[in-house]
Amino acid sequence: MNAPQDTAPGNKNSGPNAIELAVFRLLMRAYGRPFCDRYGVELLTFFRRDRKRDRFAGLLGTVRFWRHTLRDLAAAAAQERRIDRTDAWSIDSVRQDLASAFRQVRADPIFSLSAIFILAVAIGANSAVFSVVNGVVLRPLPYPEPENLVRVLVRFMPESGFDFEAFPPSPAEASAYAHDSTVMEEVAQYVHVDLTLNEPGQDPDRVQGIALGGRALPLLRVRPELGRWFEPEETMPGGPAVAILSHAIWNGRYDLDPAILGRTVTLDGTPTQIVGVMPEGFDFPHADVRVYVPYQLDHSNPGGWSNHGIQSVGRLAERFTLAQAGDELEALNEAWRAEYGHPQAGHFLYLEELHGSTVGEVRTALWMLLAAVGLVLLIAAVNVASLMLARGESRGREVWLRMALGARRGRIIRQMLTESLVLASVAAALGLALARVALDAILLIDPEALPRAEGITIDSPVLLFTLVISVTTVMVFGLAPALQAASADLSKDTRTTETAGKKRLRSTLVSVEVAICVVVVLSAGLLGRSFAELSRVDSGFSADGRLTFGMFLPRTTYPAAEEVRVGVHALREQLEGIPSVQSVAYTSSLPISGNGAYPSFSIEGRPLPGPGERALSALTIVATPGYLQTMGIDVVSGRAFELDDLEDRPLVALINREAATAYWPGEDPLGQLISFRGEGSPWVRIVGVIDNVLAGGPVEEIGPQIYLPFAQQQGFWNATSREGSFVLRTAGDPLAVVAAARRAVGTVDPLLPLDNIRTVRDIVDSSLSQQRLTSSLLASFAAIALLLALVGVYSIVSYSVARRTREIGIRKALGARRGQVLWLMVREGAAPALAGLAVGLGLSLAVTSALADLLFQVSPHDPLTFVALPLVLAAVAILASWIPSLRAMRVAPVEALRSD
Amino acid sequence: MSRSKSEDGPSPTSLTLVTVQILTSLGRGPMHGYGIKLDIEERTDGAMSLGSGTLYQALKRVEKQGLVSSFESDDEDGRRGRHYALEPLGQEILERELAQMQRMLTWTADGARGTESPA
Repeated sequence: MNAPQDTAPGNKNSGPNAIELAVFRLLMRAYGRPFCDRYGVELLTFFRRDRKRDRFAGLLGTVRFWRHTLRDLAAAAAQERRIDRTDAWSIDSVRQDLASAFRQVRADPIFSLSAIFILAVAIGANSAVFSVVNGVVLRPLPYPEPENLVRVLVRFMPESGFDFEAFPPSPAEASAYAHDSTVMEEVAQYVHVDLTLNEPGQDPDRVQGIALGGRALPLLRVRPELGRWFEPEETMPGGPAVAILSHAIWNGRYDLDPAILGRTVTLDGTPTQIVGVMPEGFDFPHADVRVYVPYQLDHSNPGGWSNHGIQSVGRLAERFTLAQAGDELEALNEAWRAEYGHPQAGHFLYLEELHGSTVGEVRTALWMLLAAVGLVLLIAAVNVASLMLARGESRGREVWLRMALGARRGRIIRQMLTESLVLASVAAALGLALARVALDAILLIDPEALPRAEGITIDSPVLLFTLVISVTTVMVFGLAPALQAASADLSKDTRTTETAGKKRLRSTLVSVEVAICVVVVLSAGLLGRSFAELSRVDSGFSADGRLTFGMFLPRTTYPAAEEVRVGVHALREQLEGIPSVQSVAYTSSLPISGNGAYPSFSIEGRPLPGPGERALSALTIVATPGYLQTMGIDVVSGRAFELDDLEDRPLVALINREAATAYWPGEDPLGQLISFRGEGSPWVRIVGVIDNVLAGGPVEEIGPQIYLPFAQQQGFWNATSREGSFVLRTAGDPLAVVAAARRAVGTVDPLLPLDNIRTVRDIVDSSLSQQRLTSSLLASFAAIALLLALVGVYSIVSYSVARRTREIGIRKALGARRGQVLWLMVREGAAPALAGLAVGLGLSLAVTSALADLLFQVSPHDPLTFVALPLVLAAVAILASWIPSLRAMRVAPVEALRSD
Repeated sequence: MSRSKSEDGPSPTSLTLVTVQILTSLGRGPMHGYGIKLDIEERTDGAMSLGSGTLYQALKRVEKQGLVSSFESDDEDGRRGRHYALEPLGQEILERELAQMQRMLTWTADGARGTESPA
């Protein structure tokens, strides 16, 4: 035992302090459990003794000691864990990997820029579409526990005489439900009301309003930001006139002035006190609502059961599910039918989640878009993988050398993945910027295409999504080339040999790209065809050169039918006086607006339909003479309205072709008499049949329609519609007459605002906005997919040509014909592309069925699309293979033989 | 020492420099870990200063190879701790290794002379 002295006499160094010991104990864990169990005591003894040595005294000594200790620990711990020292996840090696990755990225700028660009476009498109999905579909409704909110709707079965999927209930039904249900915490009613807002010194304004039942806000659990909610007496008929403002109008019109509370404004001619302001973000039932007024209903006497027309929302009590509520409602429907009899026959109430109901049908389209754009990302990833593979082979020598020098496969893979990660990070950052731009563009295509569009923004869920897809993409495009590179066979110099495996992998990638591309392109093709069909739907009227705006004549100034009639007449005369206006008409309901009443009627000489028999009903529209001419609607037979179809003249009506075939099949409807109010009411003579006019969107079927002269409406249903729209046919740009129209209206009544001023063309266009958005987005994704797939095909052939120059030379020298060599090369790209095309077609057949709901008059397996597009794709793929193959033809045999 | 056992052991040329130094130190008699470190430092004039991790990892390896064994004992200061001692196999390997080094040194010296002589 002759160990030398480890401490010198007079040693001022007393050894490690408690902190140092604790730190070392902690660091020792790096060796792993087994090593510490066996050598832990000795390691600590060693540490104590070593620390005591003179050479480690003082500050410098301490530094030296720790440097020494740490270096030893890092090396030994790495070894102990059977990891190559350089392979450890140490900061150093990660930094090394990053530095090397950046070097590689800079070393080959063309490759790097292409990869970054491809990925950025795909990531950007994904982030943009996800922002939309997130804002519209995923974002919860802005009320507490939104999942418990439901909408109450009515379904009319054909035996009711009507056939409506989703119809608003009657106040009586909603009141009965609120009263009888045990699973609903609250049920409230509301109804859309547009209101004319007048204030001294300000232009009249027509604003969207909601009349809310007294229990609506407690149900939504949202308190006004300022002021209070409606008092019970304010929600009773004849109660005081009060209103609550939305945050938007408080901000926009009143500059957030708190003194707005208690102020009196005029709403539809009635002095109304402002009693509250709703908080920002409260957008019930949608973001365009500016004013809330009480829905004044006497719940003890809610009116007839058939008076459908209010909306109803409910909140499930916490312990119940939607399914339980549905079961209960089914039982209640039965009970009501038994109790109230006929009015409840053939239709029933049902529930729908408020969220789904708010988002609407766009949900399907948005998920489809997200799936499509996800496929584009996949193509982009495969494309970059393919590029990396090609480059990986040119880097084969580097990898070969590093492995020969002892680098492990794991390390090489990590190095390659780090490079991919660097590319993907840059692409993700760029992609987010692109997403920002794309989002603006999407919202610009048509701001009306999306519900809840105000919530679409690039926020943290979108950033998280971008992060996730970027990392996933790295895994997809980085892993295959990394594994490929690391599988380098040390016994071969990879520079000059290409294994069959590598070639197969590259071909497979091209096939995959093409297959996915086919799915996206065919889907876009189907949707494009569908959109074309929609655009071709005959609207029955002319849209161009027509201006329209809404008009409401309030009861305060126009108390009775006569005043309304005179008012509309005066307005029409003034508007007709505008120089570039060719004709003017007023109607209760514009085409495509979806508005209108569906009263039932009877036909002279026919019995009334019995219970369970289909009732006679039609969309009934009131219009002034000249409406057909102003809207460009054709008369099929008989005549149009005439100026002397006045109140005191025989009552007349026009019907559309659909009504003629539905109710007078094989008969001439001209001269037939109909009546709207049962026995004893006046008969109306049908004097003309006109073309079918789109009442809702182009997707909806055109049902029977009846047109009645505005001047006679009091006569057949004893009511006057105060609300309607003017249509102006103009010589030039319709919007050029807006100012003149305002002046004209102002000369009749300065308190009347022009509401919702639009061209008719605009109305037609927005009826397709959702489909336009969907199909144009999908078309752009298809374009990107196609471009990427072509780049894939092109590059595989170019690469092959470059690689086989020598072979081509030999073949030529041996007398191969031009065509043979050319075909040899074209095949390199065309074969995998055509294989991908076949697989893609098979996939598409399975996938496009999911599009059925989005297609209009086009089958999900539309033969034209499924034959024409693949033919085009095949031709393009062959062309993409052809162009680089031509280079092979220029190879001179002698030169080629010299090439390496 | 059976023949088969020596074949199972490492061949002399596979020994690392650290192992050779450790075996050399233990050739002077059993020592505790820190003693080995100080011994090597002294012999190499401080050129080889082993850290604890490197040392015990090497000890773990030679123990596993059967070149060295360990036992609990008091050291010169009366502190109890594990000591390491050379096994016969370790002794044999060390001798072979040293002989190999000796041959190498001689060969290098001859070679150096060989290249000089014609000049």
